[in-house]
Amino acid sequence: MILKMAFRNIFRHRIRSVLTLASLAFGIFFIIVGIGLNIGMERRIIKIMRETETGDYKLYGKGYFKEKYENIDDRLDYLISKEVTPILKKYDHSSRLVFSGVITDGKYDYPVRVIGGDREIEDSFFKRSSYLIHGSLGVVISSTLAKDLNLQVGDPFVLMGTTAKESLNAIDLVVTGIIKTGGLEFDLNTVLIDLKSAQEFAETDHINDIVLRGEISPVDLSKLDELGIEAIYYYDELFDLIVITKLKVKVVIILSMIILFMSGVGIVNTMLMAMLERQKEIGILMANGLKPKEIMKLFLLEGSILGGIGSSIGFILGGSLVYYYELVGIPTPSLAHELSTTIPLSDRIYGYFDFKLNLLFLIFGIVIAAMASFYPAYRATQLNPIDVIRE
Amino acid sequence: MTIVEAKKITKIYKHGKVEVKAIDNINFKIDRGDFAVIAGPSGSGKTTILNIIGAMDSLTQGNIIINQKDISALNKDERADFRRDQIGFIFQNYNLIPVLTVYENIEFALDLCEKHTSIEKKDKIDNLLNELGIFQLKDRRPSELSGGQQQRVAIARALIKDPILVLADEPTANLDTQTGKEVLDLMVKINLEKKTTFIFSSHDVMIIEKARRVIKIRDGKIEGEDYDTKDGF
Repeated sequence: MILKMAFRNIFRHRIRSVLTLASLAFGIFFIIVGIGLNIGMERRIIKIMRETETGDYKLYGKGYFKEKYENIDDRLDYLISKEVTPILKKYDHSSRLVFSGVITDGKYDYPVRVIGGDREIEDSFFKRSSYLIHGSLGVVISSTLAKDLNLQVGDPFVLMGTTAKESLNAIDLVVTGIIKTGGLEFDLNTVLIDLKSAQEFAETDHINDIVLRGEISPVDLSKLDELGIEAIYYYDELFDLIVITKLKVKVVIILSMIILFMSGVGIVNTMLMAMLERQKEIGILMANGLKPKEIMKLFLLEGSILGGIGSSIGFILGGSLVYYYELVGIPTPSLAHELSTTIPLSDRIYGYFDFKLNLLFLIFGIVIAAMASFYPAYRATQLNPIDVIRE
Repeated sequence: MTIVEAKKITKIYKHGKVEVKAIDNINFKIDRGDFAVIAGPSGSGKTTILNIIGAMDSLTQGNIIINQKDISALNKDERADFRRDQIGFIFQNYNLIPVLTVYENIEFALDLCEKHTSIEKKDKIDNLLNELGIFQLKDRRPSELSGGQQQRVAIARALIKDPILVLADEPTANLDTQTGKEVLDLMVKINLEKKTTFIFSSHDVMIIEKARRVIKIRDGKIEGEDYDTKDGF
């Protein structure tokens, strides 16, 4: 009966209840959509990066990983010994030579990242062919670069750069294909060429970048270490990107907490008003033998039902939207392309609907509502039935 | 047999530094099956006495013994238990729960004190509603009832748990004369048939005339007691 009363009491002032529900629903909606999109974005970025950039492990000359963001031009200083080849035979891997260069259109110089790799192995490893939007493998440039330089398949261009011997070099190339992976960093300024051409250009017969799939055995890890090679797990490779994404999730959580706190204040207000309006009724319930703890239960139930309905609305609407975005995705705004080198983004943002996590938010909404009802409930238990019935 | 015994009871209210003696060292007894009225002008202390008998209020001094149990020393929860199991209240303003139907208002009071199967509960409530002539109103909300109908529902709510005492605070004050008479006659009938003890607080002449016992109060003191020896009023 107390549950029935609690439920009906909520609908005594429909507009007030609807407004309170709406604020809570919005809070839960915001947190579910915000976190769903951020997690979706993180998963998408990791997926793209693993598929197009890192594999499961990246092997570098020792020291490069630590320095890579500070000394991007020094990649050729971290060459890998050829003795690594027998160790990696049993692993699915691609050995590459990666370095920085410049493409010029006569007016401007465009900094690029050149990846020299075996065409077939790279294709097999990263499925490059499936990401081609024009032409074929060979000399492939990324989509944003092609757009900026107004290059099309068949167009010539000049690649310039510093070799391993620290002399300047230039090479005439012709675009055979244009690629778009969805990873904005990759799509921004990447040039894929054959390993041999890269080695000739850089004046070295070494490599400096190996991507690998699968787990490396501890024995092999030790051998690699002896050769001055460090194996970086993809998670560590992408750590900075993941940290930024997690930071964004934290921002969403903080904003959501603020919204939910405001909703909580709204519920306190609603329940206090209900308590003040129904003082006489509370007195009657007490006269009929309802104990303070049962009065408290009545108000906590009202708050919880209010929270349950509001949170459920937010859960359903937010969950549906995130699920829709998980299936369809939304295009990244053009501004994001400009920011893509510093903020981890992909060409489309996909949501990620995590039922258990979202259920947790729903329960959290109910708990907040119940907590917000505690003070009005406590006030109700402190009423003197004689005074309130007389009024 | 005595059902209510007040022994030198005193109630003092404090309003800041001012003390108001609402009841001043009074003694009285009420017998089981009585139809008693505590009568007196406004502010005389009659409602305070009713509240003390109903364990709604505590005493400053003295003892109040209900059904051979001293309720003066009960704590808040024990007083609530006592009220829910032993006392039926009828108020001047009916005071039904607006979100519950007539049936649910009565069911609520019954649920609080006893556990019944839904069939037993339904039989008990339906019988009482029939007795009080309000069966046809059982699905209505209080806002859909007249004052007289609401007071009948309040009577049903008070009686459903078979209380040892029904305490009625000015039950006819908000009713017109005819409806007030009908409601009062109903309570007289219940008192005679079920031997339920009724204690009123009122200055309504109609109730005083019907009462078997009148305790007159003025300024917190008993001014006099009248016994009506007529059988059946």
